[in-house]
Amino acid sequence: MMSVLVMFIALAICGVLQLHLPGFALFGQAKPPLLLSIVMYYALRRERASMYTSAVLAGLLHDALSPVPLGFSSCAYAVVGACVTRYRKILLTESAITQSFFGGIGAGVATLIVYFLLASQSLVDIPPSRLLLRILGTGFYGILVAPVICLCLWKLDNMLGNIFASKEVEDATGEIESTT
Amino acid sequence: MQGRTYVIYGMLLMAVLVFLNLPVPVSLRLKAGVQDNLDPFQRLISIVESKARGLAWYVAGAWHADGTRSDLLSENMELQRELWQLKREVAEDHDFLKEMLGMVQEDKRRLIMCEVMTRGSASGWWQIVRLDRGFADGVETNLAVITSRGLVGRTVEVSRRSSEVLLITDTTSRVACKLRRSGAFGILQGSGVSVSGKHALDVLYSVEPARMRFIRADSEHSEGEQVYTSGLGGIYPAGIPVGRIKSMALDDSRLYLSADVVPSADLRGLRFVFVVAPPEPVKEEEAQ
Repeated sequence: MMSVLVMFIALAICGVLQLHLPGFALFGQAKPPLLLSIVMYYALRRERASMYTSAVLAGLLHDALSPVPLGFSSCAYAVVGACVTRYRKILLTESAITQSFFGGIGAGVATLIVYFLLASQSLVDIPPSRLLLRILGTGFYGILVAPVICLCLWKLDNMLGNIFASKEVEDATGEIESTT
Repeated sequence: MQGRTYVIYGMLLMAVLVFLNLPVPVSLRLKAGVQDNLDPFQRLISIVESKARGLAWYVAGAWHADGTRSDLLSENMELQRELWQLKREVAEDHDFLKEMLGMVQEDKRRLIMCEVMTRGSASGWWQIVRLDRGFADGVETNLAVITSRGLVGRTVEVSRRSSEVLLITDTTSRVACKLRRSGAFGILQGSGVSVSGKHALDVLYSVEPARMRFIRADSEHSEGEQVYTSGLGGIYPAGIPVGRIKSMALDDSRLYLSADVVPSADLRGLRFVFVVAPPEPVKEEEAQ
């Protein structure tokens, strides 16, 4: 229950912050991907079900706070989250470098997926050079913000005992994946 | 446990599919609901931003100037609103006289003053600003948004207490326009933002000239000529200043002219704007 509460609070705060943070023209007006960073945290350090839940919720919130049709970002976040979760067993997920790397790559890929979905409905009209700039810009922001968000959420979950609870469940059932 | 996990996956997949296939009005209502729930947080951040600006002014040694500036800005906006009202009254007299002469023209639109809360949506795909007024204040979708200098854009999504405005400089924006002198029509399309030169580090809306297309090739034109909304298309009322022509040339088809138009409104420094709302319905008693 507390895990879900932490997820909801993190999503609400990051959603509003992402809305207010500036998008520089130099980065194709890309915004720092705070919501995607939450998905990255759950993909790298928590159970798979939590990752999918956070991906769907973060995507819906992202779409609700912009003119993107509902569900587009959820698909993109879920795909990125699933890819990261697939390879996390062979990675040092506690490392800030890993988080930065996946934050950057994930943000770029998510931007590309959302672009294709929007372009398929003729909702955006930007030249390829600006799309590339935007992907690079989001990636750059992702590199910066993903480790920070991961650290904050990890500390918060630790403080509230969510990690411990998760580990207990894992020990009892041996079915839920957890990197704790 | 495994079964429970699959149930969660199934529910999430179902939820995404449902959201992807929602009818547009339902989807917009849902979005409006989310925005309304997050509205207090957004306002809180706007207040913090405003205070931070004030603090910055203080640090710059302009403590008193900030207060005076805010007062002057509000007063200025109020005066502009009064000016608009006066202009409208004059126009009404004018209309009355025209009506007496047998010509009828009706334009009794209201102006709703709004403050810009945020710049850009959460995604950043579009050039959008969020205003602090929503349908509770009379704002609807597809209404023109202006400043005293000219056209800013149109409302695209409206929730109870806030609304989003698509700027005319966005690449997906189209405005039916008219040249003042020649009366030639055209369509204005935004060019997005400049990513090089002195505007590269602008936080938002380093405006490139917008492009006005499909202007009759034989129409007379001159640099600096004023461009107005034509009123065609049904969203923007006629006669709102849009910008001035910077340059004009034949397009690739050699059939039409296309012009670079510099927007009249200062889109980079937007703080207060007006939503041009339709006139309030006249009550029966008043009508009688």
